[in-house]
Amino acid sequence: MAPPTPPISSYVNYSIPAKNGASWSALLKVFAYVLLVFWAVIVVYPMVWSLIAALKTDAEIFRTPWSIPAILQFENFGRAWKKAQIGAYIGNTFLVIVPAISFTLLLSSMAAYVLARFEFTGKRLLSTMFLIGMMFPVFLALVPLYLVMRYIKEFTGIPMLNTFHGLIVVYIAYSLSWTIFFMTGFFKTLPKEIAEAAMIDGASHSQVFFRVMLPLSKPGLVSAGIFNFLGQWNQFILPTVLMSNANVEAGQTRYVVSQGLYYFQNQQMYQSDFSGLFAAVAIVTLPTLIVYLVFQDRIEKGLTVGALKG
Amino acid sequence: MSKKITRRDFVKASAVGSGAVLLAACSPAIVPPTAVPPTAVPAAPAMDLPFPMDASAVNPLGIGTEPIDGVFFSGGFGHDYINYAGTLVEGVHPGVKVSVKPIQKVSEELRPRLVEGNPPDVIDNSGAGSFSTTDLVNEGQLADLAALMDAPSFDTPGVKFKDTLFPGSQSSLVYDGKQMGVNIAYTVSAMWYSKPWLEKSGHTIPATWSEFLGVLDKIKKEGKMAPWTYQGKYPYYMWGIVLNQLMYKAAGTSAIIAIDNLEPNAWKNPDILRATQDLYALWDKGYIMEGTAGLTHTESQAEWLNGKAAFLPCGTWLENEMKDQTPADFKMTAAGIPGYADGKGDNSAVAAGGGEPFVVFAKGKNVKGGMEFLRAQLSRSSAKWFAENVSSIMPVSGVTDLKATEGVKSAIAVVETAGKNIIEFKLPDWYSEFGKEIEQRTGELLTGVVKPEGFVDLMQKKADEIAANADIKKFKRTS
Amino acid sequence: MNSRKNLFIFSYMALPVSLYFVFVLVPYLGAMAISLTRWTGTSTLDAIEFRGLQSFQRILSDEKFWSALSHNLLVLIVMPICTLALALLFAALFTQGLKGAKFFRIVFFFPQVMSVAIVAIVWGFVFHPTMGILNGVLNLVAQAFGRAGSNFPWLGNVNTVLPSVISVAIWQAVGFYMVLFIAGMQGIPEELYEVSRIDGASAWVQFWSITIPLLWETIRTAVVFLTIAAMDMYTYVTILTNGSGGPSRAADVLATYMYQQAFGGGNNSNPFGYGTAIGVVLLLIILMLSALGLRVTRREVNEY
Repeated sequence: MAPPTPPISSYVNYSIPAKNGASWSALLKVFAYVLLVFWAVIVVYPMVWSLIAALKTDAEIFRTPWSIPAILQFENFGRAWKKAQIGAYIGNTFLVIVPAISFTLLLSSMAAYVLARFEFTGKRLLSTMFLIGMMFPVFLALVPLYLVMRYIKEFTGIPMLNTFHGLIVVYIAYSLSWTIFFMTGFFKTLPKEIAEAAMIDGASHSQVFFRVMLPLSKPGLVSAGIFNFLGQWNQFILPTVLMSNANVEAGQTRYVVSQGLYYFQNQQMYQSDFSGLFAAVAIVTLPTLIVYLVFQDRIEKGLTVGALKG
Repeated sequence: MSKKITRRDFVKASAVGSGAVLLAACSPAIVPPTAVPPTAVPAAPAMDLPFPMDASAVNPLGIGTEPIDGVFFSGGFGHDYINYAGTLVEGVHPGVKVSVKPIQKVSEELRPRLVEGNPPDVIDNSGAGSFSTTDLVNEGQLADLAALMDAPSFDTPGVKFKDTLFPGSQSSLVYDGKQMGVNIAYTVSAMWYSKPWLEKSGHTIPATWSEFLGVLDKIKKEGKMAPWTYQGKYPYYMWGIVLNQLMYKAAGTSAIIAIDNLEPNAWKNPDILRATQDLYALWDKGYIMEGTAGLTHTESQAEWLNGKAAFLPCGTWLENEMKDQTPADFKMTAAGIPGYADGKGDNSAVAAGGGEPFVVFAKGKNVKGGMEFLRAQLSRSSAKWFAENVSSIMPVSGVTDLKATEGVKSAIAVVETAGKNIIEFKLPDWYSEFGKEIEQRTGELLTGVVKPEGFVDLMQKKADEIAANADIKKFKRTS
Repeated sequence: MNSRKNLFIFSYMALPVSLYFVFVLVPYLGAMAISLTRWTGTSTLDAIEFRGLQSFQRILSDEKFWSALSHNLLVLIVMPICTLALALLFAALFTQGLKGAKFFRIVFFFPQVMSVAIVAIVWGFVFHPTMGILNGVLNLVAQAFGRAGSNFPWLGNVNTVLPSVISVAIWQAVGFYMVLFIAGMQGIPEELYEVSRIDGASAWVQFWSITIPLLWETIRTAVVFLTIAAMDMYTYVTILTNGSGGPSRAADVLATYMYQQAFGGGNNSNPFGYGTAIGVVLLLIILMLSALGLRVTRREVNEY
């Protein structure tokens, strides 16, 4: 569910001084900068263009796609927020992903700790089982997953479909693979001696885990949390099947943000509101942009936290 | 994301302006619209109905007070017109609650409920991502609407429900003689142009396709605009509006029936090839606007409105769909697709009919309630509301006092000329995989990827494949 | 002591394993079972008929399946090569102490945090024939050389639709692998470079003789992840082609073909059984390619 994050050898400090800088000729340097600026424009311009489009009228988008808006159409944002219900979708999304991320982190680090630190029968099987989960195309599972949810209700009486708790549980299950993989790598980098010392002092395995190992793995947890945030915020296929508006009255919505955006994009085929769509795109991108800029260092380092030698 | 246009989607989007003229043209004219017996109000309904009712028309289906669970596609028509029908039902049946749940991707949202055996009572199965109605019929999911068809009309006294509907408007939902759903919108398929432009340019619209190609050629040579554009990313428009009509006009009814019945070599008919070659000429001679294949339907229509192309195929919803982007002096006008002086079909015939299918689920909790809802949905008052608020036409006769726009009037003229000669291909409705194939191949034909000979070969191959597949239920037509 | 340990292991693994089993493994196993049946996907379960390997046999002669698979394989070749080349190049530049490296790094990584749906919506407008940025730029260039502009439909032409989709995927992926490689490169001890510099090696030689070998493990992992991404492509293709798989289905990949067969009305005889069979084949191919990718790239890992 989270973006694929391969492990990397060591915890790296970015302030390492340049290697070999002196051997660069001026010409190469100019060439390098041209290339970098070129790529930066390719990355930034489509996004800036979308943001500008979010402030134009539909007619301006069609007739003068290159110009800046004559009057800034801030009401596009209001329309996207209220009429297109982007606000409600964002609320639903947080309702799901806050508990989902918390439990993903807790359960994954428990499993990862065991897999990283203990030898037992079946360990290899369990590791492989979690590992290949990252390779499954999710939508292959969609209809059977729907049936599983339905049977749970039949056997236990607990409704799972079209419920927030049902979606939370599924998000957790589909985030385990990657998060366990990531946290196992992390636990392996922590020195064994600390845990051993605590055990000698009479602490139980659980006490060691919660009082010693978990606090030590905070950097790893933060990284895993950020990646799960991005993955679950953008999750689309699972809620499409498990959260439907076919059971709620008009005016309410169970959709999460990606579904809502898709719904809005679909509506363009019937009632075009491109400026509203771009405003919605901007509203939805903003949280990820903020998370990224605030935690930029942590996200990049997060990639390097896991251990290669595991 | 996935937008597919199928014949039944044609009407989905938005709308035709509406018109008494059209209604008159299509009305079976049995209904005296104003003659309502004043004695006809029984057990006074809880709300003020906009009409009086016959005692026998209040609850002919015998519904109880169970709620009616409806899930509806909400596209260009919105769903307020459905809410309106819901209040009609609630007004006539105190205590009955009609729930209206608007959705978009019908099959994605509803598939789970069907698998669970817990379908809604009634749905609007339209739009991109709707179910294949045929598949639902084949699985026995849908209720036979015979009882509804024979029930008294909701608000046209003394007339059966089925007799208030435009002739031919419901035929696309007849399977093995049974009415398995009702279409709640009516549309005409035509090609469109700007009337002032045509007058100023001095061109005329000829009766035959070969002469028409000559006109396109002149437009091309003038170099001011491209002669033709279409809904590029959705080539189904070119099949369902142009190629189907060319084929009928070249080859005649028996050839179309042979194709629909999956007869061997039906596509190898030289007249069918001729029609295909005539469509291909649009690409071959360079008449199609550059970039067309990369545009969606609304984008290509916007280019056409901006004067980048002369002609565009579309249904009567075009006017409403593009109303925000249409220049005031554009005056869009419909014309029939030109045909053949020596064709085997009637040259004035046109493809027109019902769309936006509503169906009732056999396993719904309140099947009768679902049908009762449809009786109210296709009532005169609901049709009037639809016409006035969504500017679109329900195939219900006897709606009075409506104003038609110029564009719709021109489309109506096309239908009036055609009279009873309505062109209908059933194949893509009966077998959705054939619909997919024909859309893809029409797109290839219009971008030069396949040639006309290759096109008919591919169609025959697909037809043979379906005919040979014992897992696909086959349908036959005789007329 | 040992039973205490076992109890601990059990209590910590029980919940994650059972969640994973019930909500992840069971559905996939269920999908494998469905691939052996005929099922419309809308009827209730009692209408399912067992058909054995029928769907898999049909796949063998299904041209559209093979065409979709060939598109996946093209993505599989082009996307990893371009992504790795660009990511390695940028990573190498940024570890050379260029001024402004930090700024560029932040910018380059950003597409990675955007959702694929948004990326695809935005790029759909980049490739737009009349108001798209790409044709706008090309037409400016054309005008500068005195040529006429054009409204080329990048996503509406059989030859350009798949390359267009692939370039969007590369655009999004480069930043991620760049950061990965930067981290790897900074883990390489400086002394190795100093020694080789004394031997008179150029930066180019150093890159191939030191950086690449020492980064090899990271590159291998990257290849596996890019393989998985190349076999998916579902969201990119769906949103960029409005669900049609492109003109002539020229950008169709297995995932979109599976969707069209199972949900999109492209199959009237056995939509769900057949669609699921395509998914199962896709899964097997992914597993095979991942194993293969790891094996082919296996070489002596350089310890340092």
